[in-house]
Amino acid sequence: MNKSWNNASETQQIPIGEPPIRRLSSQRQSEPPPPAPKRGPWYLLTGLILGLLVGLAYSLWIDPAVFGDMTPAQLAAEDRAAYRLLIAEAYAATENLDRAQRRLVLLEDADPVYALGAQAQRALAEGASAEARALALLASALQNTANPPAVTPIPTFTLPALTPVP
Amino acid sequence: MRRRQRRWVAFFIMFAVGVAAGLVYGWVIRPARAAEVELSTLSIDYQTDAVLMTAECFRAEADPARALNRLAQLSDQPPLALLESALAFAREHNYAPADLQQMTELRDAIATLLPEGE
Repeated sequence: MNKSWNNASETQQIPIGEPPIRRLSSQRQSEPPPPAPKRGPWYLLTGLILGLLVGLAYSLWIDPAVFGDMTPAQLAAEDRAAYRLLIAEAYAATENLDRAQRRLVLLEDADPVYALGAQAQRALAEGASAEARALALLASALQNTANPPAVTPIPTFTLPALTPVP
Repeated sequence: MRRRQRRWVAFFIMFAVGVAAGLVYGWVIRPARAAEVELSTLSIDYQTDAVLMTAECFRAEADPARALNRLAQLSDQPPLALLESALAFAREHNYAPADLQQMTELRDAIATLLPEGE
């Protein structure tokens, strides 16, 4: 198959007598290589962020840490309340105050009586009167144990004299 | 070419640093937060005591449905499995015979209520 040059301008652009390839190679040898475009350290930041995302995805979703062997004091507030209620209900069932006290110590409340009272009020506000009663019963028992009411007999001689009825 | 290789090495080092930081956050820093710790994560001795409390309530109330609700709160495992493991722990650690008796009563009551395996 014969190919004919139809495009006249293409043939005109090739300079005759000067080998273009040889000239180009000689130019490259003499000139220094062009400097690489200067890039900032963004690739480092990109690597760090990508790694962080992979690490977070793995540790939070793919293979998350499993909680185990926790103590009642480490529970979330809601679950501490559930544990406290269970203690109060068990006390209401057995009236074993010593056991209830030892169980309450595990929750490490700063003021167990206050914690029980506050939870009883919340339960009452939510309409859980049986729960509130159990919590209040234990709070009351603890309060009586910690600060037994001082019973002071009223001396009879300080009583006001009876006024005679006319 | 060597410069390009050095860039890749630095990139992968930073990637590894990022992965390590993500793992430390997910496995070490975040689990220390108490806001998500549930009753089911209690160690077996506290769970056994909670089962004993449930058994004490059950003896007074004689309400198996309520006992089941309490047990469901305590653990992710089925109530009967929880009761069995609590009983085994209690026997192993020489709980008082009266406590063992209460837990056994609860186990028997729940066993009659639930089909096997639940």
